Amino acid sequence: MTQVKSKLVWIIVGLVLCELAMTGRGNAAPTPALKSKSSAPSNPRERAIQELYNAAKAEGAVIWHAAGSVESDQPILDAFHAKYPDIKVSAFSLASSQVPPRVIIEVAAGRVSMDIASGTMEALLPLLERDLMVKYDWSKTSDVHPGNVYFGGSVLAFEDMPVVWVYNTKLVSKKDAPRTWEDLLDPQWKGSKIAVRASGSGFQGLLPQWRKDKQKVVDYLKRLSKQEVMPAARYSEIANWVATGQCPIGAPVGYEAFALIKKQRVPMAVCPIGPTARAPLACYIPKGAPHPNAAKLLLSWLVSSEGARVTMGLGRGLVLPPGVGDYSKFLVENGIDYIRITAIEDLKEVFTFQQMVMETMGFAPGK
Amino acid sequence: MVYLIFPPIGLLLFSSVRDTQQRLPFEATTFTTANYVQVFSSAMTYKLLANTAWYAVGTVSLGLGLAILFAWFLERTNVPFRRLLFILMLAPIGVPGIIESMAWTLLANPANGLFNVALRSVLGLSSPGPLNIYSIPGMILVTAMRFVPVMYIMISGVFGRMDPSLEEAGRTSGAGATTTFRRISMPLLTPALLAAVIYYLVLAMEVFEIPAMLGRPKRIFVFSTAIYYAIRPLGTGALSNYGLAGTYGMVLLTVAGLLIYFYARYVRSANRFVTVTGRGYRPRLIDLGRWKFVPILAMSGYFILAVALPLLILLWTSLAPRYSEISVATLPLLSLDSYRKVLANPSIWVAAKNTLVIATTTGIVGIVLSTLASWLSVRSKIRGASIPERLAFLVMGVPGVVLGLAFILVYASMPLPIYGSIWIIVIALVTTSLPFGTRMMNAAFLQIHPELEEAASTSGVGLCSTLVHIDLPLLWASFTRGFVWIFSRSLRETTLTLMLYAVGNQTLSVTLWYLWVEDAKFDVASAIAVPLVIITSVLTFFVARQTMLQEGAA
Repeated sequence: MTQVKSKLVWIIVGLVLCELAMTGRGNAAPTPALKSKSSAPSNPRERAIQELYNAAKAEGAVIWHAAGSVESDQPILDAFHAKYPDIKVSAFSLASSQVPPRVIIEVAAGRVSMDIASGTMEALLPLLERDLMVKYDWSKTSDVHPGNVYFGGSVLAFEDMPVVWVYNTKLVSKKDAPRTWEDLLDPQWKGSKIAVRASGSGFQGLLPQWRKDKQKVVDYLKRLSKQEVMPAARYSEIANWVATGQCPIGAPVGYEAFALIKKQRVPMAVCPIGPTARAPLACYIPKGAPHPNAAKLLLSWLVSSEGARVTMGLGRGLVLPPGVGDYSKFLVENGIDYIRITAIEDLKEVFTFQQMVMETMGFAPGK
Repeated sequence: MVYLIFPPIGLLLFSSVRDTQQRLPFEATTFTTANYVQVFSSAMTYKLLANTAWYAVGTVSLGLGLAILFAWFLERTNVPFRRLLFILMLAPIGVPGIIESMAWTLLANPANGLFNVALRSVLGLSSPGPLNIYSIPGMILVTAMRFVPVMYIMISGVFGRMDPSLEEAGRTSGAGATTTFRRISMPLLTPALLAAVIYYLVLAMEVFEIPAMLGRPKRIFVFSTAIYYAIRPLGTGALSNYGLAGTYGMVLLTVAGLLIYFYARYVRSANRFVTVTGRGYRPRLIDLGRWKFVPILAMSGYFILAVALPLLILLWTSLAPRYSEISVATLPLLSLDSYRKVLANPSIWVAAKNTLVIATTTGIVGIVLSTLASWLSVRSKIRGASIPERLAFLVMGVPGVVLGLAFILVYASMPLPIYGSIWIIVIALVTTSLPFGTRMMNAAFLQIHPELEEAASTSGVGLCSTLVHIDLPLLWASFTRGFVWIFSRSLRETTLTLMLYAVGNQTLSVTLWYLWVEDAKFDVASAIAVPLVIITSVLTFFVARQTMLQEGAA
């Protein structure tokens, strides 16, 4: 990965988002429901969508995996259901790291239990290697930007999930709040006061440093480990720990921090520790999914400009370029630089980096 | 029985000798000892062994210590309010481990746990602490409190049935109370206590949800959690390592199997220390005099810590707005919103329905199979008739997390559409219910004289008719009690249901796990936990009480 590549992605995504911003950014209202027996659409894409909808109706349902909580995905699913009322949408929540192992064993058992799964892109590499994701030409049924389609149509990026450091303002004053990675090593934060994701993905901001000097990052993590940080299974757990005061400092994903601070007025603020780097959250359809057409319909809608409007209206979605959308502005306001990771070789490096973090920090029963 | 027990264990052994770093056991093409080499050459394994040993020994020491004390209070002293104290002591029996752990994270987490906040304000200490539930002592405390009632049931009979003439003879010979206890009472109690120690060591090694919830935040792992994380990796992009999990499973299975072997031996040898004779007697009760308040305080304190405070803090959390503090100022903000959210959530309804279907089916199938195994063992004269009952006993040595892993391996490799359905959970829970069910039904069969069946046989009545028309009516009370016990146990079971969870077969325990452990939605999780704990406690308490009363009458 290079900064040049990420800048290129910024530009591409920026163009898409500027277009979205001009056509009614933040408008979460879905378009009217698609009639079951409408007259044949003249546009080839609309015709393809109608055909897909007819096939999906025969399946009747779609099962969605929420990488975060179902509660935060529900408005998106409700908007889809409002447009396609004949498709019943059910959702379940599971840490995205746990989904690929599940898909592998479920495919082997011949009983795949989900239609659409999601995860940050490095988590999907084992499925890519085993060819367990459905490939599809998304341009047939969606106006998705080609820059958001990966691995030959197997994977669709739909949301940036940069990790930000936050603190509970009732427990930590603004003056004491850490401002740099080094500040986290201050003795005052020793003893279960810092919450991070056990997968190590919250430390990807250290990737640029790791490339320059691996040992320096390992030494830093060893020192941080001595602070007795609290490993969480999921980012939502970290957000809630900080919000409830179980941990004064933590590193949840940005959109959860945004929702808690801006919408729920939780006593929480952002530490300007940067940069933050991460692969975007991407969706895919596992091979053997019980409702493949309904899954294609939902994904086609989700990554379309209409779906993106709904997602952005919730303060989620894509945040590049900086400053487009409330969520993106929130990151800029707090001085967070975000590097998006998408190239396969970079994703492989992320996987190795995270394994190193887990081993160094002792987050999982290792060797 | 053979179908339920041998294929899972066989495939577990098989997966432990396959190279499964990136593959499923049945995808791997070669046999290997690499998993065993990795496990036994790894410092982590010895750390896991040390953690597991400390946790299990600590739990049994604390739990059994309390159970012995309470049994002595209730069986051998003239403590007042005996019936009330008995109820208080048995009350925690139905509280699921996952819910007890949830409550204790709210009570004693080092940052803002209720006890810590109170202690810090009284003692002028700074955060965090002074208590830390995220530690092995914390795990021991929570597990031991759950074990006390069942340990009490196991050992109280020994206290109640000890021949007092032996102690009286000691005292007549001039021995003091301490000497009498050390030289006479303790040797009489030792075989039964040793059997209890071994049995509960196995059970403590198997516990999963408490170490998983209270150990993970401080990176403390035991064998059961290491197996879980080997197949449900925390790392993004990491795959399940079934070979490593299978090898950990074999290590745990071997240790548990050895302990169960010694348990069986001690139970047999314990019969040599018979102290109940044909004479009717009631052990002499020790007058506590002015110290009568001590048992009342001790047992009430136990009830408060094990049931009352956990239930109250969960009730508060279920009523209070999310992210609010426990304070008088929050009182006007209490509402039933979380309960409304629970009622409005379709996936929770699915979980409730699944839980009910699983618990009912497991209860029926479990008790029917147990009855048949017990009948064969106690009544049948066919050669090898006791084998099913002995196989059922073997299941006691298979930890839940190991059995869960074994069932995943079996049903993922079979062409039957069972993996991912509720039926894989039913099969697993029926398997684990057999040791309890057969013990219960063995005792019931032994109380019925075989003359009745012999008379039926002489009159030309067939085997099935005899079982249905003669044995079943006589056994009905034990049969229903067995059903309720297995039903209630299935309602609160977490380990197997979590291991075998797939979309669509989720239970309330699994829902609680994800809401609490992964989403930290404490309010909604508490709104599920409060009614669940009331239902399981009432059911389990009913069975425990009936069993104790029946044993008392016998």
